[in-house]
Amino acid sequence: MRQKLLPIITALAILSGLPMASAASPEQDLKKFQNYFKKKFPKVKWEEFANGVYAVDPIGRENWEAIEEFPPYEPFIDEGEEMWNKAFANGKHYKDCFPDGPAIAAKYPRWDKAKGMVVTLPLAINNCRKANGEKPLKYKKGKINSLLAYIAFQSRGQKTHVVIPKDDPRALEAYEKGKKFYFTKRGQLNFSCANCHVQNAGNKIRSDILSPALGHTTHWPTYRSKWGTVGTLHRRFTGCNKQVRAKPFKAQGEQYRDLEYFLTYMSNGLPLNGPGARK
Amino acid sequence: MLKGKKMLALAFVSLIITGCATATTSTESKQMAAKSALSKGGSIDAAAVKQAIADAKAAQKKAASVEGEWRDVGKFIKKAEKALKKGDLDTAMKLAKKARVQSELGYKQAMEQRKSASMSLYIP
Ligand code: HEC
Repeated sequence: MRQKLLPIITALAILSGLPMASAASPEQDLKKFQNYFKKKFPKVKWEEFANGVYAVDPIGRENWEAIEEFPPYEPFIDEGEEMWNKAFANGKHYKDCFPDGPAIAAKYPRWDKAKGMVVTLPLAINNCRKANGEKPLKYKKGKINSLLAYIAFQSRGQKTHVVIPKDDPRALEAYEKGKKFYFTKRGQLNFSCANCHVQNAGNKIRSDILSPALGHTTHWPTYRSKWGTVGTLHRRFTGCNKQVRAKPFKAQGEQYRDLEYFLTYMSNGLPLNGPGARK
Repeated sequence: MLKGKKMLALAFVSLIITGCATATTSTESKQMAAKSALSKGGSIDAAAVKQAIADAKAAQKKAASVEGEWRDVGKFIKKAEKALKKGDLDTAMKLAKKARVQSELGYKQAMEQRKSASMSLYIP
């Protein structure tokens, strides 16, 4: 029954001129995605995409380079180091959860087969805390950012290499969900992420130049002047959902984790350069 | 700058095309009920407002179930409830309706996007 159905569906799709939803593999997506931005910005060097909007906005870049001379995220790195080294009430440390730490940013997000879900670094940190009887940290603002800043700093120079394991179809499913999310129009303004960060990358919207999606995940947490502090990637997702007047999803909920899985995979090969500083 | 404005305009236009035309059909009967409550002597009664708020909440839940809820719906409903408490029935009714209509549009948008959203629309 199933075998018969497939050719019919394929024929229908061809007849109606519709693209087949799941025809492309992640590898094919990755190539298409990265080539799109290389072509759109032929003068931008590959590693430069990790610098977000400053790869494509020369004026903003001047300002940013001045800021990076006295990085506003530095105190957070120091605080994060203290957190990393301080024992939990039970005498254990983060190191007991992350023996390869603290330079572990490139290991995340990753597919966790046992849990059947995408595990991000912030989630792994809280799993560690809970396993050691500590209260979990908040996922958007606050202390988690300091710890993440320390880990990001220690991980600088590692390369993004998200893996979508072939031995668990649920991993591909999570990737596909994240991908679908990225291209889905939302909110009263009816915008998808891709409307701004793919189609209109490099163009101006209000007072901002839109950054290319390629490189969006290399530098978290990020100090934003607008926030006056460092914030997580999921905090940024929240803001971008809100600005199109869509209700944001829960930080570290399934939607944003899958989105992070897809989006980080799309930046595979780019160096990690967190924490970042942005307007 | 122009580009941003153009994009916004486009977004609204496409919303109007995809959304508004048929959004109201599903709750036409309820709207009629609300209207008739309005026409009776020109004022709304509290029961009609309560019904409108309940309708808005149901629509909100339905939109959320397909990840299509819009940002301000929850706020509109809260404000409607506050206005109802204060006895400002006109305001309460307006807000409840806005919350319901936006929820229906969000639901429709999400269902449409389930079918049509795809990477190849942006990167051929
Ligand atoms: C209406 C346009 C718009 C939409 C739609 C939008 N964003 Fe953004 N986004 C911005 C602007 C403006 C900024 C700040 C300037 C920049 O870096 O592009 C930004 C910044 C970001 C950043 C930070 C970039 C950096 O270098 O630190 C990320 C990540 C991001 N957006 C992801 C998303 C995701 C994921 C979505 C979909 C849920 C999305 N955006 C939807 C406008 C948008």
